[in-house]
Amino acid sequence: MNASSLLRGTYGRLVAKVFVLAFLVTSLYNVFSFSRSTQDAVSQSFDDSAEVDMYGLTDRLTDPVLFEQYRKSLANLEKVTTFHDSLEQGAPAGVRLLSAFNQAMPVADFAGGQAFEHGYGTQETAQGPYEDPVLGKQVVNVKSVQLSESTFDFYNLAGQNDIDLDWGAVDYDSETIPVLLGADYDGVYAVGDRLTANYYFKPTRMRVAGFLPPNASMFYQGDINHFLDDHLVVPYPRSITGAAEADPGFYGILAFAMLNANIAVDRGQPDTVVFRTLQSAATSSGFDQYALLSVPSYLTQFASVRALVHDNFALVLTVECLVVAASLVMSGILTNSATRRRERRIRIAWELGQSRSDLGRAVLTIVAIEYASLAVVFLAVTHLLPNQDSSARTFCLTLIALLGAADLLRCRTQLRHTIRHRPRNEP
Amino acid sequence: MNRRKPLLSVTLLVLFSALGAEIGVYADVRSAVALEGGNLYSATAVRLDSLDVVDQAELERTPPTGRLFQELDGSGHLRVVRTLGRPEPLPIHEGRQFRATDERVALVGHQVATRSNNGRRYVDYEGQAFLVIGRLGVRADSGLAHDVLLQDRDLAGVDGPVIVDIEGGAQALPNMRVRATEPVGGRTDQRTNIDYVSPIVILCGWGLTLFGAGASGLLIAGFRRPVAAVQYRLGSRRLRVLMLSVLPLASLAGAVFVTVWGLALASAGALRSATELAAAAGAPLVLSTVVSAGALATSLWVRNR
Amino acid sequence: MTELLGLQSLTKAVREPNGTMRPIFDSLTFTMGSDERSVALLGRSGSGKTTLLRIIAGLDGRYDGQYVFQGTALAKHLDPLADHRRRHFGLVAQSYDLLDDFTVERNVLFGARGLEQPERRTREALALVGLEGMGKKPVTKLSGGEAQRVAIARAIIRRPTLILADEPTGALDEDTEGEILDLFTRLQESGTSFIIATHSPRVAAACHRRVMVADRRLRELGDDRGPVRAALPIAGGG
Repeated sequence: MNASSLLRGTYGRLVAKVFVLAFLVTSLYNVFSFSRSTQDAVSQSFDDSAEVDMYGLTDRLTDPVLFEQYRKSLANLEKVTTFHDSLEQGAPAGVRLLSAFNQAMPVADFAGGQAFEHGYGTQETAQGPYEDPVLGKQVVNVKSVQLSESTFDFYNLAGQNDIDLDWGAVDYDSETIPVLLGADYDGVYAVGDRLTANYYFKPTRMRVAGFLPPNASMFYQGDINHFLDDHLVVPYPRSITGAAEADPGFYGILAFAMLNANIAVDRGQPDTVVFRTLQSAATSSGFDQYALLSVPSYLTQFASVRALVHDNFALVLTVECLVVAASLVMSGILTNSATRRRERRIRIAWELGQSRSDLGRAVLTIVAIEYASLAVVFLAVTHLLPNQDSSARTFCLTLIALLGAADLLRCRTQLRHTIRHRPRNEP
Repeated sequence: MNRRKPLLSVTLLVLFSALGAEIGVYADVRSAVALEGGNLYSATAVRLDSLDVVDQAELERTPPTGRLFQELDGSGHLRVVRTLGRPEPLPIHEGRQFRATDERVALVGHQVATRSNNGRRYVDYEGQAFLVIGRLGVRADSGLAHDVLLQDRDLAGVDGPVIVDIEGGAQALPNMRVRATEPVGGRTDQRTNIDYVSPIVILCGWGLTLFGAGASGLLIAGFRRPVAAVQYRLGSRRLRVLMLSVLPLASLAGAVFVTVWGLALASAGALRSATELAAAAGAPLVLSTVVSAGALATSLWVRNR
Repeated sequence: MTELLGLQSLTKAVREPNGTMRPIFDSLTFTMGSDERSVALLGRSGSGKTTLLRIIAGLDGRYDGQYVFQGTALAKHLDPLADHRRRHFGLVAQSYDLLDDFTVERNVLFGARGLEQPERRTREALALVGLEGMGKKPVTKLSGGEAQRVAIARAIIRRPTLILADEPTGALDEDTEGEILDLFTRLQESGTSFIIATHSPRVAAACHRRVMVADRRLRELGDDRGPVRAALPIAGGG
């Protein structure tokens, strides 16, 4: 009695069992890879320290004429940059200045497609390439965000594969500025590539220092789901105090751009701390033309999205528990049914003189066929899935091996029982 | 009588019916969660400058399925909505969904103040009273707690920006004359790949449910086959033997259906869709019963020719 | 003597796995009188004893020839044959045909469909076969002899005209075989007729008449309760 003799009449059950377990393992693979992306989603933008009260900071120089006059004075620019530095570096613990501004960036000889263009997908029709008077080249206005190191860290942004920005090397007076590109730029540019851009009317060379991971996001202009996959991320220098003299035009714009910020205040802090911080910065710098806006929607959105991320996971987990239960019950029934059919053949073979080790080998072959088929089906199906996760795959293959080992142990026990006992009514 | 086989039969019927129902509940709740994360806009929602770019007459004649939203005060929290067909359920934790035929009704968030009149709650807008039919948000403390959605044809205008959220995207609107549209929804889903994972969860779940229901049908037929064979040998006609086996199974399946459907409706709460959950809970039971009947009929007619 | 049943010019062939047709019966003729208490059906393995019993029981309608029961020619459709079987026959098989998931009483009750006071009739049938008080016992706990008695109780509960028994003692030891034969004798004395397919000389000798299925036909071997002739084939497997 070899494996194929034992398998006769039970092929249907074997195929059914393989499919049932394949459903189980494939769905576990999905839940496993999904749970990792859920954890990433939470930690990427929402670690516990991000639970803050959010304020908006801007200047009060709304009149364009006044604004131009103010900007042209080096002394005034010095006040603005000192005010910024006081907030950036001198704020008390639990108060963080998050400078960010999404100014589109004209980039020369742009290698990407229309999807990266500012205005793409909106009713403000994408402009397409045009001749830039500052650079004297064909440029495309690409989506971009300029932000500070504090902002970058606050939203848990980081380069992929540990290739990150060296914030210490961000020097606007140097040859090039290191920049990061959103994940969608992968394949368009590579690390080390150079870009030329018109940055506030100043020709600027930029070097691609890395790429953000997929779905990198931040809170911007009231939207907690502001994704950066198609953005050019330009880092602010840590301070521009004293730099305005060399290029007042550029630094005049930049200083006020850097004032476009949110202020994040840890929830344990008293209400007055942000006012005192701003007052102190105004006093030390001489700049008091600021306005503070409350952004209550941040916390609501943050809590809501975090809850929704977890809700999604809980829902998937509930369905998965039922899938596991149903699969195991069904697999058990199919195994039981197949075993009953094989029992009599095994007993007859044993009584006719076939050795126990021979029969054990036949049983082992059957279990090996079942679980090897399961592994093949699992690998084939998961190869076609959009979410590829090698550690989830390894986990599931290990699970298949463990299930196979458990099944083999059960089969061997059943074999011993079959050999020793003969049912009463069997002729 | 040995109780093992009847118990196993009930267990299998309950298990696969419950799995089907749970997938139905999951799909309803998940789509509501996705809408909540997208400020009630799905991944195919787009913003148009006005509805003037669409053939209005055709829209009335053959409306697509979805919703049209317009802001009323610029705050983002007060909107008028027009419901077309039977779209995916909005996230609510109390009350019911908008129907396409509803007029002067509202869905409001938990924190929105309402006034009571004759046991019903109302919100007022520009001197008009809107009957509150439900509360927005999968939970009370949601991002929609301050939102108000009004449904009233008189409030919705052709001019002005409109969010179009219909099945098939804006291109499904009749004779639309704009090519570029700004996508506005689906951002929360982007965080977690739920829109990749969810179809696979549903596919695996339904695959297992239907496969398991069919296999259960065969197994239950196997339990009944010796009895059917003896009944036939003792002189009962084959059709009678078949009915003696299938009718009790159908009754059992009916009892399981009522129980599972009831539990599913309770667990889905305000997001329940009775018809869809009935189909989700009932399909595996129907399949089991039909397969079982087919297997028994085969053994009675084909093998006894 | 009035005729209880008669098979005229019975011809049947079956398709072999290789596609050829193998004849089982060739114009076989068999009659049984209403005063004949028992007929032993003998023959080699594969001669067609079981097939003949199935045709008589109405479980097989695929044959040529005529089947007359109590003067009425029977149609060959399985459903009217099922009605006929329920009214006139009891069946006893070598493997007992009992349902393992049920008790003794429940197994016998399967044969009592449509009868008045089926539980009382069940108890009477069990008493008749010597299994009084064992109604609640699961059939899986019965000995071979007890199991066969349960099958006989189910077969007699409707007081059939004729009991068709296929190797009823094939799986039993000599002593138990004797007990079953005594039971058959008692039932015959109460008016039930038997056709018994058997390899056992003892069972054949206990029957009123003996016929052999050979060469696709029936041959009479004797109709007294004398010793079995040497021409009987050696007992073999079913």
